[in-house]
Amino acid sequence: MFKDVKKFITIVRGQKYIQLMQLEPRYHDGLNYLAESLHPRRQILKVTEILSINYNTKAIRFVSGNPKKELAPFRAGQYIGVKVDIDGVHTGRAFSLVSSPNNLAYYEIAVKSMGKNGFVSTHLCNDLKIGDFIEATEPLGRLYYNPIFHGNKLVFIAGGIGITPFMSMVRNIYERGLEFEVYFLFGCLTEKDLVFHEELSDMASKCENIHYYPILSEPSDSWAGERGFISNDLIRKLVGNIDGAMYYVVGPDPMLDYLREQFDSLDVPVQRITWEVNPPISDITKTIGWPHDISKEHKIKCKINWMTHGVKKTDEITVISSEPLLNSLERAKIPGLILKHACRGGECAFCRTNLIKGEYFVPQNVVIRKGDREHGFIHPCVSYPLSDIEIEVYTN
Amino acid sequence: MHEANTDDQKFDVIVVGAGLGGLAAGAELALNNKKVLLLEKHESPGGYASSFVRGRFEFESSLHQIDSVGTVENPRPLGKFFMKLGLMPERLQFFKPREVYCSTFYDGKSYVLPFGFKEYEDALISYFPEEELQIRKFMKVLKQIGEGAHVGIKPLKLLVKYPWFVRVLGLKLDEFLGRFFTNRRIINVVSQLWGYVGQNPLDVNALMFCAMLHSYLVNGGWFPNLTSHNLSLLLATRIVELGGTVKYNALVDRILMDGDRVIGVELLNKEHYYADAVINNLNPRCTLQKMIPPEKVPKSYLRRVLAPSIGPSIFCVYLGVNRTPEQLGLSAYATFISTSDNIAEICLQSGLEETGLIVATCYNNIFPNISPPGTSVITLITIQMGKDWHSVPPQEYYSVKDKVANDLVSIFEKYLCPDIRQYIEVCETATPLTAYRYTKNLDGSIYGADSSVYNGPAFNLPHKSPIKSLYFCGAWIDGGGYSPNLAGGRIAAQRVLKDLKKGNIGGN
Repeated sequence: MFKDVKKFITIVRGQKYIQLMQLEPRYHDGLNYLAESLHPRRQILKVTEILSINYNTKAIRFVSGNPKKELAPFRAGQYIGVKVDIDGVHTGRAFSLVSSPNNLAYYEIAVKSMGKNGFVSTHLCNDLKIGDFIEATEPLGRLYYNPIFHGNKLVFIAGGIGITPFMSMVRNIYERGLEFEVYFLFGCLTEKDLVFHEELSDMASKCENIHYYPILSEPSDSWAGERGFISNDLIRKLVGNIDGAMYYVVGPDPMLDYLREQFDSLDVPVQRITWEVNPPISDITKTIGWPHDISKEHKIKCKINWMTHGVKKTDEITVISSEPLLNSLERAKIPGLILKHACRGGECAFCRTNLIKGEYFVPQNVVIRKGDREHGFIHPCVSYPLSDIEIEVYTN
Repeated sequence: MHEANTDDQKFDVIVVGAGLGGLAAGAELALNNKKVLLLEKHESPGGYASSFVRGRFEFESSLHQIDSVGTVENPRPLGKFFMKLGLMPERLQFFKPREVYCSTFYDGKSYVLPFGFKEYEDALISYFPEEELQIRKFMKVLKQIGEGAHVGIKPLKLLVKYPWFVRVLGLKLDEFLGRFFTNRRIINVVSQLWGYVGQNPLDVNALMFCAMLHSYLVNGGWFPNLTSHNLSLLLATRIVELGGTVKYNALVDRILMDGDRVIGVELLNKEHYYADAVINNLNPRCTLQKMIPPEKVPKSYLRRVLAPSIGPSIFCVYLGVNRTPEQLGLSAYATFISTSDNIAEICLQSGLEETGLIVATCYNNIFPNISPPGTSVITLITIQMGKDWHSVPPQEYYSVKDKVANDLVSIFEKYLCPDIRQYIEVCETATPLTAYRYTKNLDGSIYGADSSVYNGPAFNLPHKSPIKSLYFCGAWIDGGGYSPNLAGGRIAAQRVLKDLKKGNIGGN
């Protein structure tokens, strides 16, 4: 017993000694370098190249705008949130990186101009010039190859500009000579809507385990490839019945709805398909579950409580129901009221806001933490206000 | 300059950081009618006590089980606090797993250990009948230590009535168990929960381990409805309901001082807030060296703060699986899987190259509604040191991360759930870097300073710092874990209340 107590007393003495050894108290943050390199709070990018890759789509290449900082590494398939200031509206959108993760000298994104229906994409296509600086987030997103369970037979199905994440993945597989069996089904309207077609054909011809199938729904008579929509029959024909394949589907929401039906008759377990909407939902009123009595132009009042520099403020704005609340808040251009945002798809929770009262709509497939749902917290990037609402916003 | 311009800027107490300590401190102060401001850099409260969504799954970030909650009929200290706050049982319910833990070994042997002091003893004896005498002796000592932990600092009484409480102070866990058992297997089974305290059994403070094991056996282990995010959220909501203010996306950059007294805080965006006292839930190393002018921090105090080594971090693999626990054959809540009997070998080799021990937790076995019908959420964890990641080059980070994650899944697959991979729908990985990035605890430490014999309860820092009006709570003060932090936050708040009442602080 006394031996044990003596031992403790020795330790107490040892402790004092350790304290005395701290001659020069020093702050050492060993993981900071890794954290800053992989997850910078923001990245400043400089435009070095803008290429038209078809009549309405541009590939934009960036290098790091800060000579002291390298671009953050990423996984093929991830996106960056590009932040813009369009006539005072601070907003941003996610763009998948199309460049290869093996080359971190530059990032490349592909932007399809949506004309009058677009906002950020139109701005990037029309107004961005070589030499311009823009701000972006770290690479984010979970559409990437996961070696834990994805296996080595991969089926990529892309619609239109939904091709972007796959471009990076295919480039990565090709460059590193990865032994994956890749089936790439790329659905487009016409020949002139195709992007990266030559490069993909070239990679497929040089690499026998990459199978590339462009599929056009409205091709010209001279088109020799596949025609029509990506139906279950076509998938069966091109991919065959492969056991244990992993399917990745990215495209506009009508295409995803169609494909979900097609997949019902294919014998693919739920866990072997990942879905991602790209570009974002164009018309929310056509989504399943949207109340019929609320039209696209329906307007409501939104009361915003917030705090800046120690002063509580209240603002009231009019917003339309069919636009995500986050977009409306950004459009209101209230000085100082800037919300943190990144994914704009409900997952990252950056824009988390307290809903004090009011009705809102969230697309069915969006999952929000049950606790948040129960206690009136919403993610404005995927919340569409249906009645007059009051919110408390935590500005950045 | 140091003047509050508006009433909105002036509070009785500011709490920095909405971790468990900060939340408990805020709630305790709000309960005592103080005007409190809780500042949190994230958009959600809780620190590690949180959850996140991937696909159709919501994952618990960190919690396995909280001790000292108890039931409504028989509440333990934390349960009493939640009831006093009006949260339990209407808004906050707790669930208890069937067993305290299940220990599985490479040779296929499995040990299921139940809650309850007597039940645990009986189970151990049934597995190791030849050790019955030693087991009874050990359990008697465990009881002595567990009860001694509530006596307080009364050396004489402790020495006379709870001698083992004093004897265990300087012992490492492995050494301590070696006094009772020679059979390696029983030592490994008994010491299995070491991951809930910190270091491996060769280093971990036997007192901390015994106090925890005793509390789990006597008070049970509990999991809140929905997830720990719900627990954090309810505490934050309660603070607001009781008249307090919670501000998210508010990163405190500097502690404001007037002479030798703390008077408020400055946020990253230069907003100022003032109060009679500041309770700091951040890691004190960072606070003292980066947020306060160095000349204001007594050197001896700083040395004391910096003396302990940084505790361990964690590597987690979160799996959303399109199968029920029954279909997967998972009956236990938390299963500890050891790939060897040689703990020394396992622990010393554990790192990025090799993993020897994992904990597989199936949350559906404690809270069935945590995932959609027909699915389950499983978390695989292993203890890792954050410093192992210092030298990983950024370009290789993802491949190292995938490799370690694969090691964990391989162990799970080999010993517990052979066909798991084909049913995985979502797989997310958290490394010490993730822990670091989210909380800025040095090296992604999950329990603050280490829990070796050179640290631990006997050396804990005081909640009241030598800097006037500055108080601390959190894992670096109270030791790691849910209940120590919730309790510690309350103690810090009570110190503030006492000092405010006495007029030691405030009054300007």
